[in-house]
Amino acid sequence: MLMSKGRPQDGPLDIDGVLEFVMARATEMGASYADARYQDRRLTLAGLTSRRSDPGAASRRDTWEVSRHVEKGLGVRVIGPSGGEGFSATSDFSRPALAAVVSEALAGSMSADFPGTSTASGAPPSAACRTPSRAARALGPPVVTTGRAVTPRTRHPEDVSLEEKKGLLETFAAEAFAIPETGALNLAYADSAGVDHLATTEGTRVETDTTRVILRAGVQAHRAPSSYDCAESLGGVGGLELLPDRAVKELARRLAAGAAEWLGAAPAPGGEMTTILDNQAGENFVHEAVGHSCEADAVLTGASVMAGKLGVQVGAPGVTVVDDPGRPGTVGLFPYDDEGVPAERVTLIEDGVLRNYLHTRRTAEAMGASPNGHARARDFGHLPIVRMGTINLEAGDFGLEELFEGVRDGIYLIGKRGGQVDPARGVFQFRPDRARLIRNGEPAEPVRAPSLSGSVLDILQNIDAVGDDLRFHPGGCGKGFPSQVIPAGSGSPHLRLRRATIGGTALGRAKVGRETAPGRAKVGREAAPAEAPGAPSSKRRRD
Amino acid sequence: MEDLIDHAEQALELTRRRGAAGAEVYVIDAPGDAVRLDPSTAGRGVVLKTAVTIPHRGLALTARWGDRVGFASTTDLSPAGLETAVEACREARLPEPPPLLPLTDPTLPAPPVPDLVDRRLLEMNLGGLVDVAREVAGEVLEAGAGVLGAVCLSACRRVVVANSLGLARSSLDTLVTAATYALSSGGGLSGLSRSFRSLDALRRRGVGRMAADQARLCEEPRDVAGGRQTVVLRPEAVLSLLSSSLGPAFGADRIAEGLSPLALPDGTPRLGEEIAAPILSLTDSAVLPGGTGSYAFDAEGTPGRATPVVRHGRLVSVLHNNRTAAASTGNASRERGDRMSTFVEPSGHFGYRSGVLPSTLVAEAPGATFPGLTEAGVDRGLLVSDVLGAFVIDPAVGDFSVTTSSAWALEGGRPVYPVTRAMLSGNVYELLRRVVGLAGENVDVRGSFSILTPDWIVEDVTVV
Repeated sequence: MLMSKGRPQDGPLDIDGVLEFVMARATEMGASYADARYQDRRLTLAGLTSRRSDPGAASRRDTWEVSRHVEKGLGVRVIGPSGGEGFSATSDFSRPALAAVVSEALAGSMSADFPGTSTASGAPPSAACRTPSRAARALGPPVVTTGRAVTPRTRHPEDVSLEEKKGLLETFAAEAFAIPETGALNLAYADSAGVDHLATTEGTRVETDTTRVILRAGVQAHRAPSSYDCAESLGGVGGLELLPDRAVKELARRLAAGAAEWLGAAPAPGGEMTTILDNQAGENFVHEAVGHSCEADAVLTGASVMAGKLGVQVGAPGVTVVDDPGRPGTVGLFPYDDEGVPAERVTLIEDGVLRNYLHTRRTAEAMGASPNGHARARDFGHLPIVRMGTINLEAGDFGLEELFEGVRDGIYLIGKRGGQVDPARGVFQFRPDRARLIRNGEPAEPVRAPSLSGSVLDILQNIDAVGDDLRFHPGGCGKGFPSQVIPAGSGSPHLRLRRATIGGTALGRAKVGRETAPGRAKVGREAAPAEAPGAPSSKRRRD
Repeated sequence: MEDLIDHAEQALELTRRRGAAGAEVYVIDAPGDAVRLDPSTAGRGVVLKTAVTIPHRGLALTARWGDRVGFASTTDLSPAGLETAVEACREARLPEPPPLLPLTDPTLPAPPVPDLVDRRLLEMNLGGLVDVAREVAGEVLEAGAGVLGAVCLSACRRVVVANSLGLARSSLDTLVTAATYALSSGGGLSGLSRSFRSLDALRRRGVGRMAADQARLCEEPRDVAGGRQTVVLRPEAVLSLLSSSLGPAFGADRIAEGLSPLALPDGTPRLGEEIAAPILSLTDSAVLPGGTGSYAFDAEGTPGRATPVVRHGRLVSVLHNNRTAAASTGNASRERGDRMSTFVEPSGHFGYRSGVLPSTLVAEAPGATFPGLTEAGVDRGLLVSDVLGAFVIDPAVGDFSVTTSSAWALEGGRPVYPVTRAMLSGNVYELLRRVVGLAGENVDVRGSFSILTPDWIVEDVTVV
């Protein structure tokens, strides 16, 4: 399936030649398995920071930064005779360099032990689970995949001029500065395009042609002495069709208006309170709290609160979470993972019950499960590890207004800034972009965005209503040591949490709560508080 | 080092042939070995799961054609790869305001900083690093705790900076990082990560033992009462809070863009204004012997030096690279820092045009530094080892709302019980004004820049 064919014996190797050389060399040197990932990606970045010359002035001071980058190299993973795993990489495709990289990977595999197996539930395994054929069992049954995939796009980023890409940022800036309170902007456009090739000694030959485009925008409103900033991203796997002018303008207006409205907002209250998450805050929560806890590498070492809980009710009924790397248009789309396993839609939590983990071949084998195509590496220079593709909490059937009904006193978190989780302790936190108080069933005055912190298992049980408005947004994720930062998609409808800890600075509002009738902790529409007081508003912001 | 200098000179020659009026090249080769130990499934010990060699090799090129400056990077250092990079740089060129690509004067001396290289780390292979990781895990086990995971990283970094004025500077340093997650017999969990320039420094510190001791102190956590309290921030927590706020805010680039609270409306720094408690002084130093943030020269080839930035609470200076001042303070950095991320950026330091970041921020409080919390008169409060979620702090605003990763209630200056989970809220720039003292030993902690500081005692912090 590889494109380049034919080469002289001693001349430079083409892609086929590089992969074949590495496979042959690894086998000759005694590897029980080897794979080689060849990557040739080109990236274009454009950044614009801009500030108004004086408050209210029409003129601005712009600073542009444009750059182009080539990421070309080969990563080689080897499973040694004893089942250990080694890895090395190079950007030099000469025969001696390729031989050296195989030797380095093999040396790593020789020094690594085989970690044994575990049970499918994630509980610690018994010694009897281990098999004598270590090398053969390290990755489980052979996986042989052949194919070529081209991710969908209609306007390939390399067919679009740099001027047009810069024009997107200009368009954004013009719209955002039309709002007088906008003081400064920080905009970043990035695209990547290229083909990744994977070959394994088991016979896998996979080629994936992927393009991504992302626009990340930050807007700062300023009115002395107050300032407030809002940020959001657009884009995904695809081409420039994902960044149409109207979407760029709409984003600029929304962020600029949001930042301006939140100028001078009071500090948020701190303490436990009923909380409604908008789509982006919800997806941030799902990524941090559920996604990372369901990654099998953490589960295997006991460093996840989800370890040993397959089949256990870990969330409220009605809570269903899936990871789907096939979700079109999202930034976490990939047809094959970095081990050549076709990427699968995985149901992690179904109606509150933990059903599955995200796996590489290695973790799947160690836990007696099937690989599901979630091995991802930052680039050719990193070893694939368990990662999310595009994770989402499935839609329920609560309308937006119904979610607010009956919340006498609470907080509405809007947008996402990022989060972090400690899966071993089951503690996570994330910060939204903005927040509003909720009073008598309606979103009320803006407050400065506080973080939400919680125990993964407690919060999952505390979801008492799921909206019907599932949406997806691009994002990113860092994991590993050293950290591998990758694009990852996520989605969520609006969610209502019966109780969550909010880290605001205004104290004295702890333990505020929603007026709930006993026994109404279910998420389905049938559990909606039909008798809930207060008419929902149709004027709340949608972010 | 000759190979990297050759690549730099080839790239400079190619830009000259393509008509560039000036150019700067940054080449890095910093292969890292990493090993990961997982808990053994057969018993109490650990097994080595993965041993990898990670390349970090690439070239960054900034070049000027007329009034336009371009930037490109590549991992492909072959002649064809360099040709491609030069062409990409030319394609990416944009008009820039003066000064156009100011370059480091090659006559400026850049003496090496002592103790940045450990010969044993240079010569160590993967097997040696496995032994180091086992030592760290062994410390945890000897202290009676279990190991949930241990990782060791060792990197030898070679850097060349060259420019069309004739600068050709090279440096070599080493770094070893150990991280482990310990689980005490009573169920206390604690993670710790520290970086050092030498194996001896790593062994002296005893990362595994510290993690095990800390895990034991995390047994049977209790809820903490909310309210405004005195909070003691361990060095890791200080760095977490300052990494995305005060650190980048000292950069003259952020100040000129109006994205730093240390800027006046006209984009100049608030020199002379009180920005922190009068007891607090901060100096940026790239020349600390053995410092994890030290270097002989920065990412543009300018010699590193010590620059006082805060004296007795007042801003006395800010940090510069060649683009922000005629006399750079040697703080050009190719770390991502707080730059807006699309998650599609190239990996590696060579993927960023140089910005401005501190090297190592050294905290001092003459007259208000104490051997311990008891001597400091801290009676009640909260001791915080590190926090989650600080990376989303916006440097222009500084609001934070973070969760403690490990924390203890303090009574009589001593930790009396671990806290289940607490949130700290406030504003970094207000927090700086509430520092009432420093206590304990100086610790060097590394992130996108480093900090050398004892614990910070901060009054009146909101705890939720």
